[in-house]
Amino acid sequence: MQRDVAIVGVGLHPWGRYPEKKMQEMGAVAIINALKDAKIKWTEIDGIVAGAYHWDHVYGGMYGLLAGNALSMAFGELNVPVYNVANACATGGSVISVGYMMIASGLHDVVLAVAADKSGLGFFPPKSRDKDDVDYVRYSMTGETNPAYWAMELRRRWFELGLDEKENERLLAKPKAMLSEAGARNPYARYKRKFTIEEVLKSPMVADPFRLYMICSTSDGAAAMILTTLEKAKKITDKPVLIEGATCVSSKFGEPCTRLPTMSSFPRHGVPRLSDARKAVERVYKLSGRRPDEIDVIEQPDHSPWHYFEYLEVVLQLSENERGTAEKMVEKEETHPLTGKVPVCPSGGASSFGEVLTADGIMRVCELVWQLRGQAGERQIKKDLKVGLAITYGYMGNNAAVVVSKAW
Amino acid sequence: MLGDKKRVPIVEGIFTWPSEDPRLIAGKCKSCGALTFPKMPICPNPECDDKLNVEEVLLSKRGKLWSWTIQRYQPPAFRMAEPFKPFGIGIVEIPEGLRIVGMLTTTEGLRIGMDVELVIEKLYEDEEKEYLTYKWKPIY
Repeated sequence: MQRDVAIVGVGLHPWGRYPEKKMQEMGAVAIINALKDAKIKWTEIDGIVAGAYHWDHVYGGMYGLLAGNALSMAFGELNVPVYNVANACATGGSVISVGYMMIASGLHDVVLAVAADKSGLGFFPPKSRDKDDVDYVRYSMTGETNPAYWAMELRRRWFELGLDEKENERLLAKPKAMLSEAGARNPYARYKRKFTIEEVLKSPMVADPFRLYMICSTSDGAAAMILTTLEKAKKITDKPVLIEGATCVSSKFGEPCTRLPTMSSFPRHGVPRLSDARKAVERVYKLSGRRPDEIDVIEQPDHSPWHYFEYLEVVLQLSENERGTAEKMVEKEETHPLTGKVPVCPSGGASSFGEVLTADGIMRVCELVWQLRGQAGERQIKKDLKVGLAITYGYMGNNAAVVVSKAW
Repeated sequence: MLGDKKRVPIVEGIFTWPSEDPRLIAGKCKSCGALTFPKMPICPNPECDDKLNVEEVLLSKRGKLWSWTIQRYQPPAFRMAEPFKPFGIGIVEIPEGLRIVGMLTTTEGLRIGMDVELVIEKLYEDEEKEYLTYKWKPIY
């Protein structure tokens, strides 16, 4: 029988550059904060699911790959199941999905979901020189960086929408400008200041038409949450946050996007762009019984303008005919993170944090929890919030989505 | 000729080489026709049960530019000729239905929908060899 699962504690280590800090140290700070928030003792945890480091070829090694175990050894080994989950940028959301399943299944009662990562050292050059690693083949023979791929997707999107890049340049800068207003109010964010549209448009071009400030950077950081049954949560806190649904999803054969790190796509009729994200959203709406118009606050990919526009339309389940709605919403600031009709990324997003690969997905849900509880301080969304959705971005078409709601 | 360096692909098996008419090498399922690039020996079609019946095929050398950008900064840990010059990257749609990522031969005059053709060019060299990759060249 499936049980209801709730989040009782969340905690972060600030995002930024911390070259002197071990991954475990950042993880420990996030765990301490989550335990304190949950009023749970470390020794009550009966299962751990952790984001596995992806940089074991270059740094981190086995202690990064088996991050859950490394964190356990550092914090105090409990002789409990530890699952190390690696799903690229979808890791955080996948960690939550696994934690959710651990408790929903009845096999665990108190689970730590955690991820700590030093993505700030840079992670996109492929780490192997192995000809069986298509990522290496692709990169060494095409030089395709992440921003280059994202720029090509945006360019094609605007070509199909008939949006002129020069005329609508401000639209490309607007997400960053809006997001920075939230980031400026987030003590955990790396970039705690506002960026104006003008500043963004003056920053150097990195991959046409994307300029430097339109693309998120990479950071070090950590995020943790304590999950338990809803029943137990209600006894511990007067603000339990219910996980209505959590899942990760992979792509469908025939996915049109030449997703990183592939070198080609083989589009098939009837398979939509971002089949992974679309299915993740579909699954999580089905699990939760929610419709897009019931989502009060969204945390989604904002790594580039392409992500911002494209994923917004995925979350809202807009039809192909409605493509371009995201741009119109941004123009009118309907997605402003704090004041928008549909607030997007009140955390400030990867835009304000920089991306921490394995922890991003967890940080996003931490933000939803704070917002739902009314604990987001200066970036608290004023309108009534009941339900939030978080969705990640991911390599190879890995994607994870989570729906949470107030359970009081 | 004496003194000429050996010209080798950066990674073997991506395009035919040496060749007067180099082509990208793909895998094609003999049962359902599903294509993989780079070539994989397994059929990627979940509906196809004939999983290990894949032949090697050479792809069309002409296609249309589906999208493009200009990479303006040196990609980290990416070997190419020095000093760095911005280069074009594109996604090209070929008649077989594949969309393929690749460098472009130019940063000028690029347009979505333009016809492009596969060429092989040196990306960098060392004392012994010239290292080659495939690129798409606009046909005006």
